[in-house]
Amino acid sequence: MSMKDKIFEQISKVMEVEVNDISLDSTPDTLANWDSMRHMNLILAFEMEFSVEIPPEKIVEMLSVQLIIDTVSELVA
Amino acid sequence: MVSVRKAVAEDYSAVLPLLRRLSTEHDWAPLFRKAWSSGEETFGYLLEDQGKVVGFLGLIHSERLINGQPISFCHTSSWIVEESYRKHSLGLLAPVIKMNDRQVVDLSASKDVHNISLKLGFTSLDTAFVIIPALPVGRGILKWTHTKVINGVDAIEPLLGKEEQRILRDHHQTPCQHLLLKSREATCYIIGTRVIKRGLPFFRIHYFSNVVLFLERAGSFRTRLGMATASIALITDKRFLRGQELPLSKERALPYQRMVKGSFLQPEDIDNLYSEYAIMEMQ
Repeated sequence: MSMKDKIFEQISKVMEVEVNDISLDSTPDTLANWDSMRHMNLILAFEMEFSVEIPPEKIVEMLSVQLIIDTVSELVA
Repeated sequence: MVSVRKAVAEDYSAVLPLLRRLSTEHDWAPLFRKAWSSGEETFGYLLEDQGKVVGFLGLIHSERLINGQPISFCHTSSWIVEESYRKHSLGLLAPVIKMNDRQVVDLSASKDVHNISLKLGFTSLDTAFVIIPALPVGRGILKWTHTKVINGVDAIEPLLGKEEQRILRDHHQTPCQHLLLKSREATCYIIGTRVIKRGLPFFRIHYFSNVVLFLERAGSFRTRLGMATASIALITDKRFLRGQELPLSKERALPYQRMVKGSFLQPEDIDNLYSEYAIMEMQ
């Protein structure tokens, strides 16, 4: 499974939405259930899945699926 | 289009309906009143949707001299976002997370905010407070005449050092009471507010200039402070007491967590001045 697929899967689980409803352009505005608490749960899920620690400054900026993928990719590399 | 911008004094009336959801009893005006110079003109951040305020995070900035070291402080307060805009809540916190040049303090983090804050680089500052009944204990009775409490800003101000005089002036227009504990050898400037809990009066201490003196002579000072403030007991955050237990005192968990971001100071050096507790009538 690619990193993108894993990220989509985590978003789907945490936000309780179908994977098909998620796109690279998805943001808190366009994806149901994406509030602050779920955002933090998402961060924790990524940290466990990819064994990385996401810096606080990044956490508050990861507000689209594309930004999430960019940030996680950068940290994993 | 939802956006975040700095809050200025003129925004108070637009923010007030949100703040009243937190409490209808508080006078929220002090959050938008500049009582001292800090180099920061903002009172926090607003979340707006087409000109309508839908979220707010209050910030109280101050410049302090702690142990001779200049420190910039930012106390957070009153984080509230309309339910339908909760997905944008972190946008209000983002500017605070990026403040790496100052000691950020949150004295009233709810359980949810506490969990989010831990992930965002905050650490726990304090989890408990101590209730000290205003009763003479131990050697306090024997040394009663060796101590006194001076009450009232006019009497206290000439006896303070330069930095403490600045603190006094900055908190002069707040609900705080100012007292000076005096022994034969030393003094301890105390700032606090009188609060009512279950119908009983307590004196909540926000600042000790010389806690060592207070602890050494607590046996008599606790009673004198109780008398001077017409309170049955003193309340203080546990960290202020530097691990010392006072007779008959009771420790209780804080209803809201104290949290801090930035490691410029030791926890016991971070007092509760220049915060919502000092500028507002908070019970």
